[in-house]
Amino acid sequence: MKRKDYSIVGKPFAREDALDKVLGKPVFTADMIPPDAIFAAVVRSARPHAKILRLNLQAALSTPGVIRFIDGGQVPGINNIGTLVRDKPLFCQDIVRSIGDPIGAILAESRDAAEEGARQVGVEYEDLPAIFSPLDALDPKSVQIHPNGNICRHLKIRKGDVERGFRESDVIVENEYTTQMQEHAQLEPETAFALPPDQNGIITTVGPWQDTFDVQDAVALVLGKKSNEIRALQAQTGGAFGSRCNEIANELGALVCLSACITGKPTAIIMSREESVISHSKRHPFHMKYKTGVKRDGTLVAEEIQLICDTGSYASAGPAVVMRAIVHCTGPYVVPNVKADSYCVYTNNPYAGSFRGFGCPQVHFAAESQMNYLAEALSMDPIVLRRKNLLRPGSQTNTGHVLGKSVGLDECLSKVVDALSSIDIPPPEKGRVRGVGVAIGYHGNSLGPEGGDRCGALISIDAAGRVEYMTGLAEYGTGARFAHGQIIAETLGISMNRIHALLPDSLRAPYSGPTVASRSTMMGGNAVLLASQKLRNVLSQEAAIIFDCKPEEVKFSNDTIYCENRVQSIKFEELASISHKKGICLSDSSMYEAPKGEWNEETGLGVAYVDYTFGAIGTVVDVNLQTGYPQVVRVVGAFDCGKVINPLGVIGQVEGAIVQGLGYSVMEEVCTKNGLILNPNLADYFLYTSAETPQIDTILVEGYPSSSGPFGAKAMGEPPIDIVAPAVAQAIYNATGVRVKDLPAVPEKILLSKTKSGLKHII
Amino acid sequence: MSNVQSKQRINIQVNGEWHSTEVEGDETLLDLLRNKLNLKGSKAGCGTGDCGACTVILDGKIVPSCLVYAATTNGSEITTVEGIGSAEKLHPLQQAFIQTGAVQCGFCIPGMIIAAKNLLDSNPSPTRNEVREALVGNICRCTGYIRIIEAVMMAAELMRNSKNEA
Repeated sequence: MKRKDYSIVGKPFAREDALDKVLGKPVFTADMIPPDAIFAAVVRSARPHAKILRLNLQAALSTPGVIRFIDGGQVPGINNIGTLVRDKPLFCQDIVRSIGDPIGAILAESRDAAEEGARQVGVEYEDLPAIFSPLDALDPKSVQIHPNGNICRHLKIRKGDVERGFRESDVIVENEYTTQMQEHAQLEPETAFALPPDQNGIITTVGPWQDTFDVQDAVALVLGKKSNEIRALQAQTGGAFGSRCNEIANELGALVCLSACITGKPTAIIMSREESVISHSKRHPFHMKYKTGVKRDGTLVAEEIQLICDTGSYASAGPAVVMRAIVHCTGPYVVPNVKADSYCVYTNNPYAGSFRGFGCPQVHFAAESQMNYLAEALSMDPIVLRRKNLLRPGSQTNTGHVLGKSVGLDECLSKVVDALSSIDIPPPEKGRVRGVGVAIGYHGNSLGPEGGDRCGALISIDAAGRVEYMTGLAEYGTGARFAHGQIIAETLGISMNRIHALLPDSLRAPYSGPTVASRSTMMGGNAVLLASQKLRNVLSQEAAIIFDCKPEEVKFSNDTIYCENRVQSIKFEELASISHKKGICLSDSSMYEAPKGEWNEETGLGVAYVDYTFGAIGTVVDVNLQTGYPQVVRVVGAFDCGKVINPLGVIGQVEGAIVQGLGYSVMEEVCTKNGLILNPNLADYFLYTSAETPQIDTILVEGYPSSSGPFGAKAMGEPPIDIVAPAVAQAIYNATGVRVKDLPAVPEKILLSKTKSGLKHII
Repeated sequence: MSNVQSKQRINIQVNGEWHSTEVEGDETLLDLLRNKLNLKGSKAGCGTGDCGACTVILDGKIVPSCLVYAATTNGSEITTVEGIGSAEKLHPLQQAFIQTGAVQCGFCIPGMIIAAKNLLDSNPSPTRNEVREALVGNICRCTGYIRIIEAVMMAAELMRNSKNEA
């Protein structure tokens, strides 16, 4: 394939906001709280399922510094902040459905006083029967947690005839897998503040949001105001990974805005780490049953799959998570006969919602583990088995989507296998055994059937030739908005130091949807591409007048505009200045709408996502035979990323996602007992540190441009995390003979199953 | 936190400048830095000394400033991220963090840079493993540490080169 040369796109540019961050400038929400702000602290449920009988406020209200208590009774609008399903009150008034549900809030002169006041609020409960297993929740005799029953959503895929497929299979493998609840542990705890209505009646709230539009609408509903009376501004945001969208963002925004309206004072909230862990959603734990039939030669014939997803006390993003999960449930393979059922189920556990990967890490763990079982049953090399069945250009996916040319999976797998074979690492230390594991995967780009997929951008060029732009997409660390800047610079032929990215302001930015689903580079990139092309056309017209040539002969490069014959040229800033003086408008906006697939929710068939990112990961793991600890000593990842816009940005996403995935594989687990989180802190919830992190070799495969991404780019924020766990589990198996079927693969599981003689499989 | 002791006046040197200030008995060094001295670079990530976002150098040693009572720092010398470089004259660590793509959300970065500075102050030519060990108290949830380790290695080289030139 002929590669087009770009001067900015594809080059490693340092991000504009890194300077303020390395200097420690006050750019995060907590750094900007107005000095006269009062503070709010939330009173949270201590029971997993109970009626609220009465509140005792006497001690709280007599705590020094406490101003007042607010609860659902003070909500002028609708006391609900639910997103996909409107099932979550801002403040529970009659029933609590999980530990940590907000009941009310104490407002006080200081944060300490507010938190002390909140601790002093007495709540009398009448306990209700509670359910902590999604399997129990499916029993019709169980207590119903919400009025519409415990099944929040059921989706299915019916393709071909699985019964016939199993009859025609030579080998059938059946297994059950479970995955754990994972915590985002974004480094900045939940923080927000709001200012009382200004002279125009507009209430401003500042916070670390993933979707300013959602916050704006949710606050308006709670306050009984119009959306355009609420201005949601995003501050620099200390990580997100899904933790900053849906209900928690709405809860924060609504709480501080409600207080600012009631008291007339700026109001802030800064959560502790413990409250952060308790209050935001988690990665859904899954129970998965897989039955897979295969021919003797390794050809996959049929697969029957049941996914049960514990969304906890509230739906949050659960209904969309089960959708993405079922679309990807077979893994990236051609399977002619599929019967799959995916249930999103309420329990009284902490609620689960958006988390990087969004259902894909869970199903890839199961689907890829199945491939390893099948390979063993067939006495076949697992890589050969994968090659025989993996998706290629023109293959049909799980949902019957016939893919186009943009499928680089085979190349990714080959690159990883080659890299693993040439790795030179010292042999394992004494007392450790080594194994290698490989997994492959795919990830549908952007929202697909999860929702309307639009993104807008504003762009303006000032008289000095400086370009400012804003999309409505949030920035929480990925740096995708600087990839947008590179797209603008490429289009206008200018250098990056002319470009300045603004953070989103919900009253100014065109609607852009949520900043989720790895959609920023693709959606925002297309939006700024459209907007900058419009300005380029305007500038071409002006330059053509100066050069006395046709607008289509005008070219842009190296901060210079010239005519094709290169006799005449003008500096970018000169043309900007001349245009401004003539009264030419150098501001424009755009609205990009992604091409829509057609996915039938009844049959589960059709084009769910227009484009997919493909990838492969290989891991080398040394297992300590004394402690059972699986130390990952090397990771190799190859990803079909379409087209790299900024290699620093892409590699940052790959490495970050892989290390999060390593934590998910071997140590991270939110432990609960009767709905109570036992490890809501960073001492007992283990995260990878620099000491454990292995070398990661990232291979970016270009040459399979996506059909819809700017310059052919694909989504890269999530795909790497989808396939880390199955690769690690397979390496552990190859090292020890222990198959881990329930994540995480913590040392005790490996040791226990190793020491039970003859028992290789963990139940 | 209960009152450990009532108010007292302390004198501390922060980033080379002396401050005389009254502190509460239960006030942490982090709160003093952020709220009284308006140095917002040090971040509050956990309040329990587990994340490292509040790391400062206190009399030559790195500490999580969220676990240090301000009242115990009378007479001490403290370095925060604001004290090691400026936009006009970046510290080599700051320059390297920008260049290598070590900064994503940035919340951990002030603590990381301080921990790395403390390492390079005593060990100008660390190995990669020494860098890994030195940063073990600083959680980063975005980058996967690889770029950060690269940045520290690059900064060490920049500092050695500039020392050789001088």
